[in-house]
Amino acid sequence: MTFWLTQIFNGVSYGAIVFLLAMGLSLIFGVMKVINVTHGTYFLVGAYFGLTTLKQTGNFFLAILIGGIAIAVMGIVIERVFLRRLQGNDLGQVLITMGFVLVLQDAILVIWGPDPVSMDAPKFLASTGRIGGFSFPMYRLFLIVFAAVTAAALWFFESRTKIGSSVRAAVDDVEMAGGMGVNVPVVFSLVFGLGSFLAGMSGVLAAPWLGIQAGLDFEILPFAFVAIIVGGMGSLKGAVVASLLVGIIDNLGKTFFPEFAYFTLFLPMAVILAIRPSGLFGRAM
Amino acid sequence: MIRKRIVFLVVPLAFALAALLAAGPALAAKGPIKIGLLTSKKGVLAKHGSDQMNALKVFREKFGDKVAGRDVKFFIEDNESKVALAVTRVRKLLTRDKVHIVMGGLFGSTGYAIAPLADRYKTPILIWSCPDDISKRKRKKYAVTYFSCSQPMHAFAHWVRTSMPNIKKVITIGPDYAFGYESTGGFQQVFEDMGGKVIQKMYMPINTVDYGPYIGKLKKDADALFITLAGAQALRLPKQLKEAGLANKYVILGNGTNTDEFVLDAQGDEVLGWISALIYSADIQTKDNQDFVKSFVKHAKKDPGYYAEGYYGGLVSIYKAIEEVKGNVEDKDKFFAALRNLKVATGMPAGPRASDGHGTFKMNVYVRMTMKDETGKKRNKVLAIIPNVSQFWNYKPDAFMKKPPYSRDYPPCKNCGN
Amino acid sequence: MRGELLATRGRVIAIAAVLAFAVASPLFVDEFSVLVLNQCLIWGILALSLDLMLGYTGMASLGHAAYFGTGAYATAIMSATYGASFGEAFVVAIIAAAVVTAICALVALRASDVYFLMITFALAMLIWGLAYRWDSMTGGENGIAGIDRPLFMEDTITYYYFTLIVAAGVFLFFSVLVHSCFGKTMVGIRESESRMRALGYNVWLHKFIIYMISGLFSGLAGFLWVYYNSYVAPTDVELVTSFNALLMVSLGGPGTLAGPLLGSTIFVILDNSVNMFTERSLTVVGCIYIVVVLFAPEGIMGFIKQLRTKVGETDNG
Repeated sequence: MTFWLTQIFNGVSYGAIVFLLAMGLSLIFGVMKVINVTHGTYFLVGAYFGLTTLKQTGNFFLAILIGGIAIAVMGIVIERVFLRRLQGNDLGQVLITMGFVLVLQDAILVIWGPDPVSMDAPKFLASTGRIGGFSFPMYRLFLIVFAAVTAAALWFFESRTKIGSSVRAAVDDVEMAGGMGVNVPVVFSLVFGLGSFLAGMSGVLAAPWLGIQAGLDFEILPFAFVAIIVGGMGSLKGAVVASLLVGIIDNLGKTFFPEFAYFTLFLPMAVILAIRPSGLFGRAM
Repeated sequence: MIRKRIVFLVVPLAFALAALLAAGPALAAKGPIKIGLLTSKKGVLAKHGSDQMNALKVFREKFGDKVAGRDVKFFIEDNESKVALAVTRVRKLLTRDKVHIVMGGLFGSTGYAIAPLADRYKTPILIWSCPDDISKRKRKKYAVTYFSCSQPMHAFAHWVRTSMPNIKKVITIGPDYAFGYESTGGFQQVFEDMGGKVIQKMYMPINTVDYGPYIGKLKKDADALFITLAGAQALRLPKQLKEAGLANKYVILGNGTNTDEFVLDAQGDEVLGWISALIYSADIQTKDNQDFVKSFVKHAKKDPGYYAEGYYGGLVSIYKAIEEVKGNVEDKDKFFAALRNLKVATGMPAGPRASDGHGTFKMNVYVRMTMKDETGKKRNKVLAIIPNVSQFWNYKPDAFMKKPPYSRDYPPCKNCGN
Repeated sequence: MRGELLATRGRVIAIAAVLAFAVASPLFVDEFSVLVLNQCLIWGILALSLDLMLGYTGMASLGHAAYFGTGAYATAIMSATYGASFGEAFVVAIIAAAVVTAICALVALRASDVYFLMITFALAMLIWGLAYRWDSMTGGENGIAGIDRPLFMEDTITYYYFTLIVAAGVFLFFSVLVHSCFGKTMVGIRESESRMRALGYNVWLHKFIIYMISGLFSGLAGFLWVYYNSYVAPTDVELVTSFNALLMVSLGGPGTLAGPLLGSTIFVILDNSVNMFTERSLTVVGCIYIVVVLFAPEGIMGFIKQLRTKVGETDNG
């Protein structure tokens, strides 16, 4: 029983990080139809910004915020200056995001150097919690709570605010939304900024747990992609459900079929692609 | 008219291309001795590579670019942490720069990939990573290895059985590729031959992000974990072990790469008390090492680890071999023979080493414990020195090589049950 | 009419010049250059086959490393694990590439536009996952080393000529293909799928066949690559390989035959030389991506075409 609890708990907490990363990716794809390969690198750069902030101020929560904001600004600039010109050119947009991956990876080497670094979470989060026979890392619980709150906030934003409904309209059909008086360029910037914010923030959140090192971007990115492909692009509900699935399947897969660690994750994705290309909660294409 | 002009454009372009391609250095009759170095400046192994480059600086500062009366020129290639690219880059060193010797290769698998090039181009390669079989069953005519991945682990298992007899049941954890198999296999072989039991074996992909599932599976009745970590794993697994509350549940043994100085500063207190073995520790108290550490710290602002010492020591070995052939590296067979049969008594931070006659060397193995010194700085304190360790440990080479190479499935886990 | 004739003549001369250069170069360049040229040819074949989909038919695939990798791994496994000959490995590589391509095509062709990009990308990830984790077959992280060429082409120059003949054959086949009726249909599909459908063409079948041809030739490139590098690893199948192939096509000029070859040549030469001049090779390659997308969407061939029409106009006037 504890065994299962531990495994599910681990899966859910990993799903939490995947959700934060995937949600941004999903929003960006849903609204702008951009496959943003830079997203994993945003995650990594965000972690570095968070690290620098933590070193300067000693405040972990400020680090999370600054990591997110820095990447949001960067994302908005990239969107305004580059991606906007390429609207409608799907391939050009993907290729240019790859260009930014390489440039940013190099920038990391220049600015922060090749050293692997770790980041300490506040003391009260670094402990081990215990309920009966079930012990769990506090930090993982924190991640789950954080992701849940974020999801709730996003849900509120999407369904209860005016901007949120514009975003939703844009996910459904950009042209129609534009016709209905939604200011599409602003929505694009907003969505890209929000997506980037989530990526940068999740990088800082993951840092105390995963460490910060070159290469982390492409180690984590596939999980986010699987989540949005399975969940359906642009769908909050899809991202939540699929991220949890990714976390749990990855956990159980590694536990029971360690030799097929990635396969247990990619195979369900392929099956869903074959049966329902738009994902579990995506709109049919 | 215009079309013709375009044709005229194409032809000179083609020649410009040809010129660029052929722009290799003209072969001088007897120019400098050329040493090709392979490292990784980008990707997951960027830090290992930067340690290596700092070691090179220390080496050049001390020995200069001159040996046996001839000038030395270094050619550095970056394989961006990709094994496949290492093949391309080494080939460049061999065919364009026409180096006399190549040293390098992070990752056991790089060694296996580049070793065949030594024979193909009849040029010595000192394979710096530790692929077991290149000095055992898949020996090459022109390749030697710096050491063998399982070599320190044989000695370590012996030490564990002798000095910590209470440790009887061990779980092994390692990265899922050659290095992991060889490190784990070496430990298991001797540990079980001496009556110990490996009760669970786990291999995990090197780019694993979340170790939760593996940690959740650890059997509770083990006395110790034997851990081998590579690259980013060294940062993640210790943290995640600690947050799962298991840091004090088991004695933690392992490969010295777990707490190598390349990552030690970035690791937290979770690695304190870890006992590991390797062919080096910055804590070695010899003058050779103290000098090396001092110069290295000057350049790198941190302690050297085995990635740094190994690069430096490899270069010392190469210079020594060049001296033995009196600078005549053009006679590749003689040069390689000198390298292969090398004996270095002094000048090596990690202590003396001598050829074992099978394509690698006998050397000291250091058992270290990670702890904090008076200043609060983490170090790998040397607990024991096991001198003159052979890659075959105490086994007979021929009998040893008749057994299968260490792999995912060998040695089999007889005591894993299920 | 006269112009067209001249253009054809110009093209023939250009092809002849390039071919002459390719044939003669081993005589006056060093071994490393021959190796680099060999790489250009192999990536050129991959870029050409991608261009068939991307440039001619308008299907942007973000996962060509999958088919390339399938060919490569099948070759390596046959040769290193089962000791198969060059010919046997070839047959198996092509069959494997065909099977994998067919399965992927069936899944991917259900989508179009950016979803097509996404699906091909996801499928490539799956193949990468197999290469990375199916240890007993692919060697996982270790990759597969020690793949030897047959003795008669062990030598660098002989293998270069072998690749050159294959590449020339591929080029010839592709130029016949794109100028055939089938080729016209491809362009028709690129311009307007619905119109082609209205005209009674089986668009799906055409796309499937093109996908298959493209996948097969990518597999061929993978086959050649393994015997070239005598080593294969998951990094050969990863995302970056797919992206590089796309960059080669975009750089040279999609929808042309010379473009992909030009693109792969420039890319390979840069890839092998940038790090001689600067430590910042990542930035250099990254900027090439950005510049090509922003300023040269039709690639270098597009530039040349533009130049020609411009000069042609002044000529007439």
